[in-house]
Amino acid sequence: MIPLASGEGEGTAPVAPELQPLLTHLQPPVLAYLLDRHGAGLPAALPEPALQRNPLSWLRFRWQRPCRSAVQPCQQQSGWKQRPSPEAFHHRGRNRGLLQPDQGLVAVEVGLPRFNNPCGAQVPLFSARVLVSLRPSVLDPAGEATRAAAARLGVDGVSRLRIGKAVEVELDAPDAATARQQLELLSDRLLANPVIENWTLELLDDAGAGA
Amino acid sequence: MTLGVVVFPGSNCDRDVRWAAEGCLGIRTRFLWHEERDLTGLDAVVIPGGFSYGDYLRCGAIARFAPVLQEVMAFAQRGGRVLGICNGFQVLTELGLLPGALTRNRHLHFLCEPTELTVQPGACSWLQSYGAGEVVSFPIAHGEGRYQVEPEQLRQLEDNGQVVLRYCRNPNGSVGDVAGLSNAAGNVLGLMPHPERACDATTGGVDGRRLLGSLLS
Repeated sequence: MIPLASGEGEGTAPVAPELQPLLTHLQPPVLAYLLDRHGAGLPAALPEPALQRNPLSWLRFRWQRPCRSAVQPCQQQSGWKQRPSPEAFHHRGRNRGLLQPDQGLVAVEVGLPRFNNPCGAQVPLFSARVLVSLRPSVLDPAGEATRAAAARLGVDGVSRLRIGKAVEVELDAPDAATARQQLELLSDRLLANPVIENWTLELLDDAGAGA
Repeated sequence: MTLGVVVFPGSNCDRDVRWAAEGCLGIRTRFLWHEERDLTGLDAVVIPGGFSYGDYLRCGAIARFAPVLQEVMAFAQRGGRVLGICNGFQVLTELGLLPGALTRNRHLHFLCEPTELTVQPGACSWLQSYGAGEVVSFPIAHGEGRYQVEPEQLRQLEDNGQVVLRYCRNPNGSVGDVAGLSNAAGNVLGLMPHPERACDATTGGVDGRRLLGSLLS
């Protein structure tokens, strides 16, 4: 068990040496906010598994405490710090106030967010653009109508105008070959109907494969 | 005799089909929500018209992956009778049960009018109560009903007698005036006109009665 905060943490919220391990998980402003808001109320220790967790995941804090309602006590209350559960909301009047040291904040792992990733680890991500166009033998009435409008705008000499679709795709895949294979399947079976449409695939960003 | 009617988010002719089958002809119907997988006890399945999944991407392109359609596909391959009306026809082509594709009408208009059709029943079990060359009137209501297929494949379809319904006056630019198409075995029929809207004498005539009524004979 690693001590997280002592009573002096309130106010200016210095990052104490014993908090250093948390800095790999929490951005300093977040930590400062938590210290400023809860001070001594932060848990005396984080459960060990929380510090041995996947470094890519974020910590979110759950609170847990016994209900103090004298009127209609419930077993236990818990919820996300930011968004209390409906039961907690029900008891909001009686439980108002900052968390007390004995009311443990429990660190919980959530997801693998790609944004604001504190460890900066790369996840292979491939971007692609699939261009879907009507086959030359298929009449494109929408294109013809647009071509007629071009003449009305005063742009003469538009001899051919055909309308297709551009589909932008982002895909997680272990490597470029798999990504290409998946995207080809996607293009051929879903994005385009080969009876009337042709498609071309552009893999925009192979650099994502670097991780 | 029970008729299954597939209901996608965006279907809007499911109740028309139920009225035509149950209200006009006394055929029991059961709605099949798009996530359903149980087709037991059904003698035929109708994929009704509408805008399945908002017609996003292409008409019928997303509906094709609906769980119920995997079962309908197996049902058709076992010889079960499947009828695709309007959006249902588009779904059947996307699904590959019928060849070709349906594209934007030639003049870009959404067409909503009664249309005369010539019937060539061939082997199609849905149309056996119509005479060869008979002219019937069904309403159409579509913006993307221009049937499109390669010329050689169209010739092959005509040779097989799969082009079972043709427009007398082609409203949308379909190749070969194709309004409805059957598979080679004759148990699957897809058509752009709405036979279920031609079952009640008070609205739109009764030419379509015999199509759904073929289930009773």
